[in-house]
Amino acid sequence: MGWRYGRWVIEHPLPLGASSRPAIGAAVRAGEALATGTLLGSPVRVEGARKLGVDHDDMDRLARVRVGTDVVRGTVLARTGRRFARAVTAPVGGRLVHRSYEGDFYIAPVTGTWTVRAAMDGTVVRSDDAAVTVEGSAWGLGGVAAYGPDAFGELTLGVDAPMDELLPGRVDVRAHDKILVGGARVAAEALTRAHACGVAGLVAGAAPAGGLRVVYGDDVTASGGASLDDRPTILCLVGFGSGPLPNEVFLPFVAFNGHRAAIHVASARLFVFAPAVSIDATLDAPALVLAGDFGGVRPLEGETSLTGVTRFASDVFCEGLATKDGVVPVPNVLAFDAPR
Amino acid sequence: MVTVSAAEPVDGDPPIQVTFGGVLRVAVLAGAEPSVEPALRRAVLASGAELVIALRTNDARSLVERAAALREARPDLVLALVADRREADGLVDLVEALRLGCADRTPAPRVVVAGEPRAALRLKAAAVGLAVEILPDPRRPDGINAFAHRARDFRRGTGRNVVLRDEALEELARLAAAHGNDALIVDVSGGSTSLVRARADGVVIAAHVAPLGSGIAADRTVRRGGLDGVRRWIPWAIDAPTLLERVFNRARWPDAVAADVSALALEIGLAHESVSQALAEAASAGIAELLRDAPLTIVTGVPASFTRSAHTALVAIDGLASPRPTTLFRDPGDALVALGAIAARIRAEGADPAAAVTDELVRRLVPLAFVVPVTPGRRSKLRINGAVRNEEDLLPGAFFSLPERGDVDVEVMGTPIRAHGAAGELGVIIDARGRPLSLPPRDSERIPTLVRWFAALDLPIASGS
Repeated sequence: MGWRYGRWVIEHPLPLGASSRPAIGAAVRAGEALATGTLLGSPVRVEGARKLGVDHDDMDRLARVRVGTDVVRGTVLARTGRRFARAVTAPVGGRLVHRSYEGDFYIAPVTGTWTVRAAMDGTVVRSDDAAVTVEGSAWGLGGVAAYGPDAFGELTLGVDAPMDELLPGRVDVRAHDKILVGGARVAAEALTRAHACGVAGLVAGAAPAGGLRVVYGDDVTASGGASLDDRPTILCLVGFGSGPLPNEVFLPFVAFNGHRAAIHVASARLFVFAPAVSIDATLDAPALVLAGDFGGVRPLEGETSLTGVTRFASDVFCEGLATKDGVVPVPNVLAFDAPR
Repeated sequence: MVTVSAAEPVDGDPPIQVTFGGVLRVAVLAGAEPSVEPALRRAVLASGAELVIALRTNDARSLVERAAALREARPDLVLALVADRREADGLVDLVEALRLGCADRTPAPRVVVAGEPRAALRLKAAAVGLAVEILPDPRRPDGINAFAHRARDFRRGTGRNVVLRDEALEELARLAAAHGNDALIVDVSGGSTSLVRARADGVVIAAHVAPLGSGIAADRTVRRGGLDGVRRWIPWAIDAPTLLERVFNRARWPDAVAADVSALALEIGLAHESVSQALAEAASAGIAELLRDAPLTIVTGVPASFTRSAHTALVAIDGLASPRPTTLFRDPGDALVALGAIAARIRAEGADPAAAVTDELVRRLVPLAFVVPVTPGRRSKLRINGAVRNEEDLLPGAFFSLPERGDVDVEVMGTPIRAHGAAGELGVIIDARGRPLSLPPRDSERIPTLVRWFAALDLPIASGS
């Protein structure tokens, strides 16, 4: 399948401390701030129900400030409505982050802010303090793994052919805020240079796993990982090491050159916001073949035929598929967008 | 995935599917007392869940930091153990952090509370807004079983015909041990690794570690044990970036077949390391020694399906590094796992599976080798079935096999070793390499050592890269 135009539902998990987020039904645009919030320091615990001498179940009725509200020193958090009123006030300024089941308040100082940006043009279909979900239509292309924060920008070709490597020399500040399309491979040098030049993100057939470790740390896995911090963003479309892109996948990049796009890291997808008629949707991407030593992935091209149970160099017996590059085990051939 | 279907399918009776089920991410909340940690780890290992975060009451982080850590960990199930009433205040604080971090999630994590009854009730009250249930204390065997059962219900989902792989392995171990000898199952699959020991009386001790394996969890295996943990088992030099690339591609290709020798070597290395890592996890739960040695060892999953049975033997012998003699079996086509799945299904229906599957089990349990670890003295001599065997020198560091079939009595004169077992295709394997098994770190010493071990079991070293 490869490229597909359709409706997508994209979830944006939020960190703690959301202070603004869109209402359900609101229209959003990829790259715009979807939700903002505050980074919180160590909270101060303020006795609530015990100080007021009431049961914790009564705190809903007595609380004067909603959780999530910014307070200043002296703000009344709760008070009894009796003749001789008793009140709980905020000892410090900050944000009321939590109320315990025993009726105590937690006020945390604000140490910074965060912003989560939309990765999809569309409508908000869910919005709460845990996540905002957006549904919209776009061209989508799934990859095997993505790393870094979500990225947004104009799609720009960085290579001339699908089997080319994106060389560091091809990356400069002219690609600032753009999503750069590499070919078969993006080395760690190109990735870090792109980040230094302000490139929003990179899309390529593959990236070297060792290079990903250098950039993202030793804990990096083949599943990728989303983050909010300031790091490069890369989407690997077919695998790790080297992965030449099939023409059916690469040519639409040419057609999409200059269109707005977004890399949604959690789902390892590239979305391009272009009209549905921009490319021929019937172009199916060929299957992918895993190299016999697992060192790379390539598109399955040319004539193929089944060879029946075949003995391979490793002494493994398995159904084989004859390709122009030799016989490969059938399980090592997967559709481009097979679940992996 | 193993599928078990009747020869003549009956309408409405779908084939049994043996899978590891869904991923269950577990967070643990516990007091500061160090002694509870092994018990909690044991419960998590028995359940086949992935421990994503463990928070203790002496954790120095603030409420907000704890809540952020829990939100990032995205647990599906939270096990809160309150061992002592005096710990209740600290655990309530942890539950508040859980509420702050995860109560808004959809679906919100479920909370399992266990331990001192009054304090447990207080925790239950504190977890307002979250689904809470109280289970027996996981420091007791019934508590471990209850938690494992609950976790398996999560992992199984709604599939009526699904038998979890760990359930099948436990049943298989019970059936194999029912004849009087403890049995140990060593299973490595693409995404999980299990060590299961059953006693003749049916008691099972298990460590099901996920994600850890030689396929889709290959990258996690490397992350846990480091790249050198896998590389050390490959009998030629290979640079780290190349190996890592192969590991990552393997992890993203669910049913890949190792067509090249180098890919096979990677899978063997991953299987070795998976067993080692599972043992390390068991050690943190205080059950490693129980899961290292038993008179019968059955290898299932990926290492059992290697074309050459000597590779299977090497994974089991080197991965477990057991100090005791054992008769080694292997299950090349997952037939024994399928029998275990049938037995698990029969037991779930309230019947005793022994009568239905024992004959088939006995028929399929064919010994592969009798493995005898020894610590020889200067003048030790090997005697098998009463005859002194001089083909190989029995010296410290020796590793060799002697052709034998059927029941064998092995005696190492000059040592207390007198062992009885069954030999098979690989005969009697004498392992005098010492325990713990260590490999030199430098390639110039490591590779000849590995080549010698491979050669001892007649395994050729094809040139890889």
